Amino acid sequence: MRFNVRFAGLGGQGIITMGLAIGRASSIYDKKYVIMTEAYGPEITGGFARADVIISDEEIDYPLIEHPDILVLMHTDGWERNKDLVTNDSLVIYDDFLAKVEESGNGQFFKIPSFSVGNELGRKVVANVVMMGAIQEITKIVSKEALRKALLDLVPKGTEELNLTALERGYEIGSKIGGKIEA
Amino acid sequence: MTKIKPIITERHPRDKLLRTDRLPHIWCPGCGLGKVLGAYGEAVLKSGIPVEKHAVVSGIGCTGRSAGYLNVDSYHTTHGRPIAFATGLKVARPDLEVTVISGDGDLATIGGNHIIHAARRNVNITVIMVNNFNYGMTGGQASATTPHNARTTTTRYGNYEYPFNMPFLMRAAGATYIARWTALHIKQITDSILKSFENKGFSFIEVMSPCPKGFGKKNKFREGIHQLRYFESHSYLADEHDLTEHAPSMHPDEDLPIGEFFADGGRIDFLSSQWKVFHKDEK
Amino acid sequence: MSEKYYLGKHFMMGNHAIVEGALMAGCRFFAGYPITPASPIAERMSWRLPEVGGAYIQMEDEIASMAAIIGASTGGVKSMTATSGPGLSLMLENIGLAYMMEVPVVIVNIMRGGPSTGMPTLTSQADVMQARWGSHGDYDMIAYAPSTVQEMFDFTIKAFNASEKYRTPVMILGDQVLGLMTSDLYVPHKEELEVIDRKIPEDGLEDYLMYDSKELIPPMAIAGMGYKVHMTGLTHNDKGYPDVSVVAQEKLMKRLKAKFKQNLSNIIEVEERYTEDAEIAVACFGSESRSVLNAVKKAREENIRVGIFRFKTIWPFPENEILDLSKRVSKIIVAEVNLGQLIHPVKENADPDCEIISLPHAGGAIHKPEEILAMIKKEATS
Repeated sequence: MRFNVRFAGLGGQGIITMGLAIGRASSIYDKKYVIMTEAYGPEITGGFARADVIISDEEIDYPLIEHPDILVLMHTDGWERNKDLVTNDSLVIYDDFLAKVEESGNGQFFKIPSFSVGNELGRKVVANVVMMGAIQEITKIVSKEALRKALLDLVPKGTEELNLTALERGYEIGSKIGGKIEA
Repeated sequence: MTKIKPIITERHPRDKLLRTDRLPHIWCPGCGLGKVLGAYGEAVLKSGIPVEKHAVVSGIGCTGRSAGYLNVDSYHTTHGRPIAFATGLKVARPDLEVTVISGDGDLATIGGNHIIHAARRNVNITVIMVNNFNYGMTGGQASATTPHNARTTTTRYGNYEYPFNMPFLMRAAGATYIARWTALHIKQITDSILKSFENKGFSFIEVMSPCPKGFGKKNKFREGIHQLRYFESHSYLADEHDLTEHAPSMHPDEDLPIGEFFADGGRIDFLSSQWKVFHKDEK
Repeated sequence: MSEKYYLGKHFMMGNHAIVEGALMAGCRFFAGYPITPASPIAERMSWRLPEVGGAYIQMEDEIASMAAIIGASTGGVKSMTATSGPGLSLMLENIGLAYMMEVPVVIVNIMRGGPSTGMPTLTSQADVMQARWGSHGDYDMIAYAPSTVQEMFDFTIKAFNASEKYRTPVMILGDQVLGLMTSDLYVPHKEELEVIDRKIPEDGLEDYLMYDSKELIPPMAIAGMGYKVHMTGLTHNDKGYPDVSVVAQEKLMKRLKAKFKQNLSNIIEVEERYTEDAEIAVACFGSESRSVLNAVKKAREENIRVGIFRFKTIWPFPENEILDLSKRVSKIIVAEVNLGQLIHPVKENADPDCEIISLPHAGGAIHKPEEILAMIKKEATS
């Protein structure tokens, strides 16, 4: 079993953090083989940002993603850059406020109000954590326990509660949608 | 042909500071470099710091050969880079007393970037820059300290550039001990080196030195003694010297300010500053 | 000060794994200058070195960085710098100095697209020849080519060991893909690792010589021991004093060359997979080898007898290993992310009956597995 997951958006949205959290969860806690690669524009904030995570039961040779099984979009820019890669087998999970996505014939599409929920929680920056919760429920590429632990490893001290709340909200949203993909 | 026997003089107290097995040195008659070497040796002996804790780093050029004649741990590095090398040695081994001895071409010209950054960091080394106003070893070309209008093998019609005034540059960059002497001021150079060893931070000593074969013969100082006479008649002690004054012009109508220009114990040195940050959680 | 290591399993960036490997190997000084995509090495060193009692300094450029690590190493402190192509170009003169002075140092090059500023954020393997031939004069280089995050850690320790053992600069040739890749890393206890320290003369020897030509690799006295050493980039005699003569040059250069020649089997490391019955071998290294492995596995599924030959060390060049391979296969495809560099020593050393085929890539990415597979298929049927 091997999943190719691409997170795309803009610098400052926590794209790399999403890759790191899900990658770390799968690697350290779910004991899978994992590779994450990252790419971004020259701007630290506001340029394109991309994190690619490969999660596999077997050792990974080619470390790059050509066709994501799961495409996570936090901004329209991510859609523009990746829409040609979407196939019938793709899952596209996107923020319903920040990413304008033309749902086409190819692939399955899931709209997540991650930004709005982050806003509700008082901190827009946790939109990516809400999104991770939703991804977990929809795809099951990572276990809940692993994701929780990995997230706690990464977030700054004092923000644990906020982040766990955001994660829970993501789980709720995701569980309502459902749609576990088959390997 | 009969071999000329060298004149054997008595052993000199500073002999143990020299690699006597490497003598005679390569420097020309009339050159001032031997004086600087002597002053450094004297300062090492007087410093109270064990000889084995002294290290000398030099670059390329006539002065760059100094490291090769001094009987301490000595490193003859690449052109312009002795200060960077010395910085690495000192930061890795703070217990050593690290001195850079090199020329104006090496330190002020090709190595200009390193000297200003070492001064900015106030890194705990001593730099002795012997200024002979040109590239001696390569045949007398212009350097960054060659006076305006001076003639060298690359400024036949006179130097149309203007030189660095090194003490002023060092003051601006952040050096915490700055002095300038001539090759006549052996006692003063020795004292300055001793003060540099004591200075916690970056020390810069410029020593103006005759270069009869390179600079001198094209600029009316045919023999070393002519340039030394100029130093004697034109230099004046200027403790309160305005550092913004022009660089040494070597012109008969202009004087040469020399002396200790700056000493500031108030500015924190690199190693102390680093220690403070690395250990800020400790009492 | 206590030494702090982060043991066990990690999900870590390749550049960071290099730092952890270096510290485990005993590196206690780092001088560097920021450059994409190698900067995470300097960043991590800047806070990790104080945790193990070492010192970090950001220099004014890569020339200074290289000079500083040589200076630190003459003081007996294991030292490293890290950079990418443009920075390596600036380090070259002083790499020659480290070789000539026989000072152990480790240089990391996280390769990016060139020439010149090229593609700072994208990968390349086009500095392979520069690593070997970049500095002037006759010299040798040991260069490790990791291909995983774990190897970034492991090979950094090997690089320090080799530099200490042979008193010579050693390079690690990573690339942007590996440097910025985050993956599994296991950090063992220091006791489980082989760490080699340079030979230092005992105190107070009467007849110690820094460059004793009676020995292949003379022990290295460090600053402050009282040996009053002299080290120079000039051609020198056994004592280290300049001796610019034909005789001294030949004597010194031959010993330096012999350090490598007599230790080839101790230095060189290659890996073969699927080559037992192979008719074609794909020679490769670094991140590119992962793409090759993928393609080779796919070709095997189609019953094509192809294998992979991976350089774990690129320099000194594995001449005998390539010759041996070329006698077992009829074709060697050299897959590399440059326009044909490593193919030259492969051609030079292979059996003349073995056909050597170039699979170049201009840079910016490694080959896609299907591109390599297409080449394998083409060569299998022609």
